[in-house]
Amino acid sequence: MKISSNFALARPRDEVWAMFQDVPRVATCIPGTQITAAHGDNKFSGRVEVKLGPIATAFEGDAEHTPEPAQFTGMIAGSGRDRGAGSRAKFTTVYRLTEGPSGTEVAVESDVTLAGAVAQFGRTGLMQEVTNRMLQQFAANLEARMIAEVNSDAEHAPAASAAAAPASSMNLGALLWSSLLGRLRALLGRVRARAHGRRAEDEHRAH
Amino acid sequence: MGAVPKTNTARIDAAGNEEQSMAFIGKNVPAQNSPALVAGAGLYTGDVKLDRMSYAHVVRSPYAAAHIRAIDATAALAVPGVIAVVTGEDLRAKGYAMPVEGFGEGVRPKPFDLYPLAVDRVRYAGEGVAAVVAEDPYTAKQASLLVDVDYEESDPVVDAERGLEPGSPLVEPSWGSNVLFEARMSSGDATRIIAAAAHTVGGELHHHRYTGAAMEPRAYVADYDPYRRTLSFWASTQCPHPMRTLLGQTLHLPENDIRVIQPNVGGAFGLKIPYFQEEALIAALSLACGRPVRWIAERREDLLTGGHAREGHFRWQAAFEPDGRVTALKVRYVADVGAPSALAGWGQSYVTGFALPTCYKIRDTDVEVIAVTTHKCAWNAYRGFGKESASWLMDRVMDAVARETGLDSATVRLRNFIQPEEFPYPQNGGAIIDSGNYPQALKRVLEMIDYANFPKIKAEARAQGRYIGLGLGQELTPEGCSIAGTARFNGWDGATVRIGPSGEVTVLTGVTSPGTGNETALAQIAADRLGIDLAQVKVIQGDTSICPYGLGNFSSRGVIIGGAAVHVAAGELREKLLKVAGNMLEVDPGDLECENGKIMLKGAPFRYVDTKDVVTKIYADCHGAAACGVEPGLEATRYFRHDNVYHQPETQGRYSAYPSWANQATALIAEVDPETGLIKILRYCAVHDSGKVINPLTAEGNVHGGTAQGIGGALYEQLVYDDYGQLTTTTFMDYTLPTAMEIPHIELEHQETPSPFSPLGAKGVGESGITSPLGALCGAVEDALRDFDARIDRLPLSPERVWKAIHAREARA
Repeated sequence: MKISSNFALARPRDEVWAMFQDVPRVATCIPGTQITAAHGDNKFSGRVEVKLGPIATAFEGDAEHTPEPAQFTGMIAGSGRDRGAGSRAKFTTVYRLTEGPSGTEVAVESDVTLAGAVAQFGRTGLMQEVTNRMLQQFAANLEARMIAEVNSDAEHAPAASAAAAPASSMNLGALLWSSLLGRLRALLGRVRARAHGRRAEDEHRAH
Repeated sequence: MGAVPKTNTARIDAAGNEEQSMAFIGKNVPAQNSPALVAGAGLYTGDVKLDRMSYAHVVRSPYAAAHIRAIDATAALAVPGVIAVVTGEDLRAKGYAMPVEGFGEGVRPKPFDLYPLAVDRVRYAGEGVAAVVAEDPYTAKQASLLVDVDYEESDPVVDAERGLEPGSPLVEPSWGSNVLFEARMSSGDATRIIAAAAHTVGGELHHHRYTGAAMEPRAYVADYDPYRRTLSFWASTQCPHPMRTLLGQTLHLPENDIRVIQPNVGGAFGLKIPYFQEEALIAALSLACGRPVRWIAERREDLLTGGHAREGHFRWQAAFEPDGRVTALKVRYVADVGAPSALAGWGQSYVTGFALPTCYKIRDTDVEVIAVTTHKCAWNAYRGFGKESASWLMDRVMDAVARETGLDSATVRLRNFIQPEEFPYPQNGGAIIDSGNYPQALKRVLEMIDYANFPKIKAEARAQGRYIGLGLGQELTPEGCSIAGTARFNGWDGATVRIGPSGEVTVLTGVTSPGTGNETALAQIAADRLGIDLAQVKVIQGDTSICPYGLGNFSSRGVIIGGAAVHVAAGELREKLLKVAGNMLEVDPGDLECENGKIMLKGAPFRYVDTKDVVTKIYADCHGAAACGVEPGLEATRYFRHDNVYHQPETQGRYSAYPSWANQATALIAEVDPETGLIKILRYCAVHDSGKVINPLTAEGNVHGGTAQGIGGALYEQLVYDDYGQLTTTTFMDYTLPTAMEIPHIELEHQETPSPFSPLGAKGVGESGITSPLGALCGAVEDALRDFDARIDRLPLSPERVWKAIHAREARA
């Protein structure tokens, strides 16, 4: 499953690039994500927790970061395993930083493979929306953190990351709800009231 | 085509030919098992409680295709309450290979090894790789998450057509291709006729993957008692005796050490025909642990591994005359049968080819069937068993010919039907179609739906801005199958009928009921044969220690084969009763009849004895004048084999596995919302013919159930795999079943064209109704959308697909 997203940060590209090279620090801005060990050579172990309504997933696994400084781009590839439901996931994420009018544009393209019980969430575009919302929150956290760090650097104070949202387990229940509301609104705009919209049929393999 | 063989000599009596009581046959008798089921007092496998019960949970592969590098159970075994962790390698070491049966001479999968758990590699997402047995189900499940399996993933085959391409990954590398089985069934010279024909039409059709979703998932309890040398196996299954045979073969146990018990079954639909890996597994776990072991599938497990069906692609071409007569048909059918298994599902692809060209007289046909294995759940038998795809294809062919010729769909069908006087009719595939009156059934259903007036009704609706259409579905459902060389699918069954000293009658039968009420039909047959009250008859099914060997429930065989066995066994007791009664009345037994609990002189009913008194004579007066001439006891075990089956091509020139051919004509009116593509069925009419109907009430229940599943398959149900072989429809939120809200009122009539080959003239009814919604809905939707020239060549008819069909013409322009 390929997922593409974009967001913008109101910080200069060099600053954003430098931030991106500190993977454990960036990870604290990704909702539900935690780096549990750094093995050197840009190899890490970590944990990602995502709650999707009543379903809680906690993937544990390894990732490797391969930056290409000349192109301001990098690749993070990894795989993980959710012991709670016996699911597995693999991902390859490529990010690219370009200079935008008000800072840095970040393009993120991921290829995610889900296996096991969690695979059912790969249907119906839900993952794309969840990822978009996660990245929005990530961007907000990142920006807040960078601003906070710039300020605290100026004051020579210890890192004050209070402005950043805590990287606790992300509750996608609420996120899902707003995502569903968004979809519902779009649907209602298209469909007359008499269609009860019962079957959101997946045409994934249809043609 | 050779001459039609004479009807069989072992025939007992066609309907009404032999005088016997018909007090119950043909009457609406409520199913005997229903009160318990309705009251919630059914006893299912999950209700079996045993001392020292342990619970199994299966560790399942998250990947569709992977090599198993290692399995580490250390952490799982350390969990308090865990009794054992068993892997595929453990079972292989014990030699617990599962037998894989073919489907008769030359019709079998290529060879492969199969164990109750995967060994070395997994072949579909969800295949079991290990099993945890624990003191309670929660511990088993929790510990199963700690079983560490090291997989090396590989690319799966998830599409049959792509699986046929050179260079495709292989499900069974030793085969050199992904073809599990292929066959060509030709009659005449279709290729030449089509090439030379002035008028031809063709197309492609795609049937999607779906399945029957029983309310009760698969469930097994195994209890091996080494001291009494007995493996007791409670199973939500359709076939207790064959299960015993298969378990014996796998576990190297003599069959008389195994007792298979079938409690109530909460839906089966063919999908509980053995032989699942979990069936062998749970029995093996009990042997390994020396404890009773219980396993009940979770819904996700059942959707993932409980057997799938359908999913095939047709390419077809037909030649026709301007008057609508089809002169030749060529079909290539590629079926995606999933992973190789010990289930019989892949055989459906063969039956689809065999059943063509269904109820039409098309002498020149050329049918190619290619069953392709993929890294998906294996097919298991599902109501319809491939015949539904054959009839659906023929509906689409007839509708296409109607479109090309400008004739209406009914006329085209009527011009192609096998005619009533042509039965028994030798069909191209080798079968003898026993009887039928297709024109009469179709004409009647057209009357019911007011076909003549429909153009007016449609025009009125159109004037209101509504799009309605009428579609026809013509189904032919061969039943009672008997397949050469299989333990599971032979066309015979046994029955014991026993009259006790107090006059009560017990029927023990090898056929089983998945909740469809065949026990009631068997009781009706026994009661009428013996001329006694239905309330005196008790039917016992589903216990290999009590019942005579029989093959259980599949292919609508409960009445046509099981019922016939009861008829024959009860007939033997009847003769004995009449003989003793003749002695008591001092008349010739041939002049007696039994009815209403009495044995009386024909034409002089005042000269009678109570049947109960005759029974007493036999039990209590065995040396007396009346009974001394007969063998003591009142018990008969007899077996019945259907004779309209041909397995000896060398002497009879044909191979036919199906003796009994039920059929149905369906007409429905559906409305399509052109803006959303949503379909609503406004009227649903059907004329069903399964020969002599033993119990119209339960027969109708069967047709209703089949219809609901057919509509579900046509409109709502779909098993969706992603490109990695992951099933993404693993809950009933995603695998959407129709509810009472979606199923219309079914206007159903029966037509009775008795089979000349079976006692009582009955045919099977268990699969009826599931087929015709497919063709009728496609036809109705195309008819409703004539303004848009919408073409339907793919199921399900989801709103999105219908919407796309509406807009396809714009897209083409």
